[in-house]
Amino acid sequence: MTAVVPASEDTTSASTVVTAASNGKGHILHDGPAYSLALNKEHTHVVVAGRNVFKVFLIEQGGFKECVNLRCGKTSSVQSSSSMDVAWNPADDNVLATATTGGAVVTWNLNRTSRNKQDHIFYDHRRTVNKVTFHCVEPNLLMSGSQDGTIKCFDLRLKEAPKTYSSDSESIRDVQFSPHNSYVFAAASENGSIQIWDTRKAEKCLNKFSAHNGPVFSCDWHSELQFLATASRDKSIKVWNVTNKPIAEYTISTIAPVGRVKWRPYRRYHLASSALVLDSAINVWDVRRPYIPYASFAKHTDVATCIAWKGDPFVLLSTNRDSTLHQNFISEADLPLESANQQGMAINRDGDLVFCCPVNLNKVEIQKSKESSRKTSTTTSGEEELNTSSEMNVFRDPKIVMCLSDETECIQTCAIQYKLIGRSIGELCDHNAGVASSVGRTTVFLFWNVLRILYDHRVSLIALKEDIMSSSNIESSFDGDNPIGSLSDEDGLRGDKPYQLGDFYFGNAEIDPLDAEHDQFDFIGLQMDSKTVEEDNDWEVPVESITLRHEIIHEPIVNDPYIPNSAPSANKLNNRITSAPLLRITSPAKFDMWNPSEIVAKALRHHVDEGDVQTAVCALIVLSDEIRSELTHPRHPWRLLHAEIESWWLNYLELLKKFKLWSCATTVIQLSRIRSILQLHRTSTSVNLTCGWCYKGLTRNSRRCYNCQHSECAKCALCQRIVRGMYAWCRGCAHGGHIAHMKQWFMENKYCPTGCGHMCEY
Amino acid sequence: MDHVISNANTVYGLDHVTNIMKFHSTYLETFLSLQEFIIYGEGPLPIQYRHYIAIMAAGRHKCTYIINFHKKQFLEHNGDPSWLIGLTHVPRKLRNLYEINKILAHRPWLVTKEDIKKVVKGPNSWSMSDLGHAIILLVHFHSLCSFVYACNLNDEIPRAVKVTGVYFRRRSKPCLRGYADESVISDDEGLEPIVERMKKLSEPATEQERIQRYELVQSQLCDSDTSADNGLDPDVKPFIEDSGYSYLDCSRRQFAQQSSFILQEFSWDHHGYSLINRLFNDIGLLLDKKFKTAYNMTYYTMGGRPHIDTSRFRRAIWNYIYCIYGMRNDDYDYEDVTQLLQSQLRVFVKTATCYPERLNKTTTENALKHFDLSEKIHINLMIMEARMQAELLFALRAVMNYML
Repeated sequence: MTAVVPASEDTTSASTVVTAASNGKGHILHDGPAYSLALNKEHTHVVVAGRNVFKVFLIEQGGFKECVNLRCGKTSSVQSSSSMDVAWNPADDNVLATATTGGAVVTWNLNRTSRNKQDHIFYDHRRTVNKVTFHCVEPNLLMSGSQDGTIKCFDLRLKEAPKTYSSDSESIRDVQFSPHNSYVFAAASENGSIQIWDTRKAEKCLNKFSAHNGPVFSCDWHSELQFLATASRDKSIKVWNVTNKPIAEYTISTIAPVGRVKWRPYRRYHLASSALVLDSAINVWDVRRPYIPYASFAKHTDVATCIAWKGDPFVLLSTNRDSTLHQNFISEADLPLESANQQGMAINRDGDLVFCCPVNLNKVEIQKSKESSRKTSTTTSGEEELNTSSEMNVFRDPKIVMCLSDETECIQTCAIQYKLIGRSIGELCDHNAGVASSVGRTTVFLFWNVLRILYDHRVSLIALKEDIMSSSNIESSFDGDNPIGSLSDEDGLRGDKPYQLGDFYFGNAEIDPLDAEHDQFDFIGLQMDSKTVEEDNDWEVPVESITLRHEIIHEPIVNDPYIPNSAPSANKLNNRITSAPLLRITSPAKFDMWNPSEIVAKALRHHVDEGDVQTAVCALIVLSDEIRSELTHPRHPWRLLHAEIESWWLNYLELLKKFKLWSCATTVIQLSRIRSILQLHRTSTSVNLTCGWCYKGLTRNSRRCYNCQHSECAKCALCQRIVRGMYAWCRGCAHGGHIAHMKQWFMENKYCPTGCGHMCEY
Repeated sequence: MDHVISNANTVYGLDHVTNIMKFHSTYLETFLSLQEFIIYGEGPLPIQYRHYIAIMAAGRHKCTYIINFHKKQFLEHNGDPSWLIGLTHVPRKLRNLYEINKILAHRPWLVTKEDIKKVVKGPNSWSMSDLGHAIILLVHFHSLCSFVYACNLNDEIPRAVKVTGVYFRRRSKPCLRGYADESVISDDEGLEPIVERMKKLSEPATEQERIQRYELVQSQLCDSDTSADNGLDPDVKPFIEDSGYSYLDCSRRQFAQQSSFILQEFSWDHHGYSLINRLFNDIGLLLDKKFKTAYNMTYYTMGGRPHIDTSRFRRAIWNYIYCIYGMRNDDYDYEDVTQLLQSQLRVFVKTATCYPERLNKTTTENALKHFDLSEKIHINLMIMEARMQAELLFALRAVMNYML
């Protein structure tokens, strides 16, 4: 029977109709925030309950109209207790139930004529009751879950002691009957587990599984499938398939702990969620696209305490903590998908570029890329067919054409092609970098390039100097008298240390403002604007640009050997200029060159740790001695130890020998400049002799074979005496003798002195 | 965890505190892991700031033990020694924190989002994560002061407690004969009546009755005031401003802003945990573990009697401390507090929570007469944890209001 209470029973508070569409603030509940709301079966009325508020509203198109205020009258009765949760009986529109913080479960009957609509109070729980819910179908079953860890099932007709189901956990946060099976209900508890119970079996639950890492605040059954959605403090919503062993079908990660979750009616994959703290938006998610909500009601000013769908998928009711009640229309919601950026691009350390973009499924083109992968997901909803498809392409640097996947080939190629001596450090590094990139080893390529930049002083400074020259030319052309003087300065300076550049040196070779495009005026402008004008750069400002009242001379900050040189020239220049004074700052700033040795040592170690001894050894060969001594200097705690370097060398040599790259190995040994490595060359440099007659080995010093007493092998072919000392012999016929005799013989003869007929070459 | 415990003496230097806590080794682990994390672990604040904040916090309760230890640590970590001359020499940013320090230490219910705003906006502002770290340090050291005084450790001479590093139980001390007591519930009964009352199940009360009982307990708070001592140790003086600012009893409080704090609206489990994690990653887990350990730890004994479910008693102490700060727990029947906590104990708990510097040995002894040594320590631990949780909730509520 329809039991809507006629509007004439309005109590003291005025009924106000506020259009939700125009006034975004929603209906304001003056008595305080509501913690929970429930709708009747026809979705025409909504009841809200909270600490101080308990009212029924009629839902109208634009707003709410208050029908009944159930909280009235004397304050001493249980009526005034604050409710944590409220439920409306789906079978009987007059019956409501509330859960109070005191442990009482109260049922209400709207049909009662007295002001106090309270029907019955169940005092069975000892602590706060967190949730009450009616059975979906049966009109008299009421379930409650409480902070004391028990779930009680009340039968309203009998008003007898309820059935109790005790879970092992601290407290129960949510209880929901299953719409598929009238004996089954789910309970969400504070220790993160979900329990599935059968109402007929009170001793043990059917199934218990750990759903989340923190307390589960809410759960909701799906209306068609056997899915249960759970929401927890660990910022995730999970959808479980609870048929046999529960598996998480979908997981949605949110930005804040989730307080409530409700499936959307008539939409198989949508659910609404609200956060418990920090996030005031209510989101509607499509579970198949867990990264971005389908729709979002972001205009709320405070956190939502409870949400419920109004029976149709287009309206969601919510109560907020700032004491308001809202109707949220999907038509007015923000759709993040519309404004989300659909392209993405990223680059990795090897220089590969990956790019993904949405793709129209109808026409598919394969791009000219190395690899491409396509991820397609199709989502359909009741409203529109949302076909989403995106494509991802990976691009690789064309310079790295041959990517040798075989490591051994890489090593061999590099070993053969590396240049280790013969040119300046910079050029060697450059060449080796080219070799590395051609085999596709980008990190090694970068390493060589960095070494080149770090250690090749002369190249970069020479370029800088030339720039300075050209700019100083420009500057001096501006000034009548000065050009010769300043040029000669430069000449004089160039002859000396190449690191100091005198008047125009900025102190840091890397910063080249002079490199910029300049014509005369720009250059002047640069001097004016740059802050270094007041600092310690040795500059000459041309006369016409600024006028000063007096000459400013700055004391040099750093003891610079150049100052004596430049000072007289400055004076010379000054003397020539009689008219306006100049701004002169006479000390070039000297910055300490940053010592990159530590980084280089680290890099070498890193390569070795990765297994690449080749790079480390070759780098050490290329770098000059003084750099190497810096790397191994005992005052640095990070220095390379000699034993370390030796072991790298030995390992590399072994590697080369495995590949049979003997000549590379020899070069490496030769260039090592390490005693113990060089000594490797000294090994196996002895030859063993055997006696020609009996083939027994000859001992070191003797020429007479111990075994057969022959001494033929030691006899000089010419004088027939045993040779003591150097014995020269022909490799062709194995005959020889005293070196002086052989020398003499072969000056005139071609054939072997023994008469064997061999044409020995001497 | 053993290495942490063995290192504790040298690294954290809180020898006496850790020695005492060794009675409850599970708790000690959680305590040390938190302490290590907030002082030496990764976090937004530089280490000199952390030690100085500890000094500022301990200064509110004039706890020389903690102040001296952290002074040493501060200097060891290259702190600027001029800061130790006084609060006027510290950078503006750190000074701005003092207001919150003061309010949180004594009247945490007065922390509002305006206070947060003052610190977070403007020149010398704190970032939210800095502030989160700072708040945790402040509340940690406020409550540690309570513990230090409650265990009489401030004089740095340990009590005659022989600790072997193993859980050590002592026979309960015989109560003094002829002890004259004017309190309502006679002390000499010992713990028997409490044990009996705990076993009885109370009838459920209506909400209204619960509120009345809460207010009754609150009003009884006012009767239990002890005298104030206004002397200031020269060691401590430079770090205190406005030393007269202290806890307000509820009778006077009614004239002050009465912002009732109901636990259900903002509880640690639901709101506090996520909020603090948002400000300072992962700290929520350590804090939660510590709170839960202190709350749930039980050896099922009381005063030497075994097999007692002490949960009601523990809950009573915890909720009583909430009540001292004006936090009402809707879920709880305050009748328990009236019945289970004797007035002497209540006085002790209140003094330890609000003005621990006024505690002296005799009051401690009298209040906890019948408990075993380890139980006394457990009660002190609960005081510390409950106070920390309460202060933290007030601070986080203000932060949340500011952020929304």
